[in-house]
Amino acid sequence: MVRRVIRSYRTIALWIVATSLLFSVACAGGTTPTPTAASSPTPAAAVQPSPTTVPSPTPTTPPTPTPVPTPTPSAMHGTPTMGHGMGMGMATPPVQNEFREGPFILRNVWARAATQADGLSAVYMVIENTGDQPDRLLHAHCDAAQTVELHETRMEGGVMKMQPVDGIDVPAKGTVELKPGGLHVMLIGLTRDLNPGDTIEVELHFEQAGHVHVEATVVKP
Amino acid sequence: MRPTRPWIRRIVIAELALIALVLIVTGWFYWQSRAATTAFNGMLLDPPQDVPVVRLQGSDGQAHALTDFRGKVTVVFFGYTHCPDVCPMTASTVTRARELLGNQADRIQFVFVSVDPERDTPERLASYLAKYDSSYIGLTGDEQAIQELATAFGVHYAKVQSTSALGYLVEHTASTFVLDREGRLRAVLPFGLTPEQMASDLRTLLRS
Repeated sequence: MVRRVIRSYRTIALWIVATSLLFSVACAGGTTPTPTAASSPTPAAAVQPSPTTVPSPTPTTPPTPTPVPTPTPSAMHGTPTMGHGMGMGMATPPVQNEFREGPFILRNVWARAATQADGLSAVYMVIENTGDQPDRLLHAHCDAAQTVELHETRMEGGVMKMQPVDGIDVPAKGTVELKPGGLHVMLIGLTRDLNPGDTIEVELHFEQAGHVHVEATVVKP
Repeated sequence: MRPTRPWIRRIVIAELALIALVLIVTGWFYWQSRAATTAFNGMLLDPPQDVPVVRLQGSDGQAHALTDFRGKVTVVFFGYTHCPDVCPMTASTVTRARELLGNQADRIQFVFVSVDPERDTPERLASYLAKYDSSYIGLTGDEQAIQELATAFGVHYAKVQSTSALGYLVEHTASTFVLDREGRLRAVLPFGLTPEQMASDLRTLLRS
């Protein structure tokens, strides 16, 4: 009987010890910065080399583009899909239109507003190939620009690199999206202002399908 | 043997309860840490970093250093006007984020630092930025001064020769930087945030 009482006390004591231990852990956890918490003084930020205000001995850019306060990979939204454009900035396409020609359905064709003085703009769209043959967009022509080129923006370690591409492959029964941060049709040497609401004529030249004509709606930048 | 049995049962129950409690507590912590990471989309610098006072030509015709915009939360982007894709996208994201902030928008200053001073005159920057908002300031000028500022922000940029009719292109860091109201570097936002995400981060920084 006495033993029982003693033992039940022991259980209670064990409980108290265990809960108080957990509480202390909880409190400590609450006050110490968790490595993942962005709002608390993060060790991650402390580990990051601080942006050097010390002038570098060589004024030339270091060959390895490692921006000092590089966002953590977890913060790099959309990084995995950056190769062919990131689904960002615009959750919904700014324009909803559709053009059908041959095996192609071209959707959401839009251009960014720009002045003739700016001289530059870009056209984006979704190209769907419903045919059984793969095709390739070779070049494009536009009535509002002297030169039209196909370009691709790529992200490498937080650095934006843009380069002309020879063509854009559109697989059979496949879709290619031209969007900000990825593939785009570049308008160089604008011959007039592109104001929001305007439409511009764009002719796409495909390797197999030949000429495909679309109209891009100009959207507020 | 017999009298010890209820003890074993009680201890087992106690242990089970303890395990459940531990699970609940760890789960709560996990949820908490997740909530904290989603709260801010960019990366906060703690403590904030001082930035050098580098004077450049402003698109408004006056010389400016980034520290001139103290009192406001300053959003800084390094880009160039011949950049048809990433730079306009960032400028439009900032513009939409400011719109989302409503009457707090005036407390956010956007500054576009050119990494192509050869082609970006103050006038060109002015017309380029006017499409977005008349309050936006472009900075350009001495190549060495720009390089000094870029280095301080950890921004890499380099001219790249290309076959494009544009002539050379400039590759550059696409992150956006945010200075607090004391003019110190407080946050780095990765490229590609949605206007909503940027607005949420700016709101946090306006509060702090």
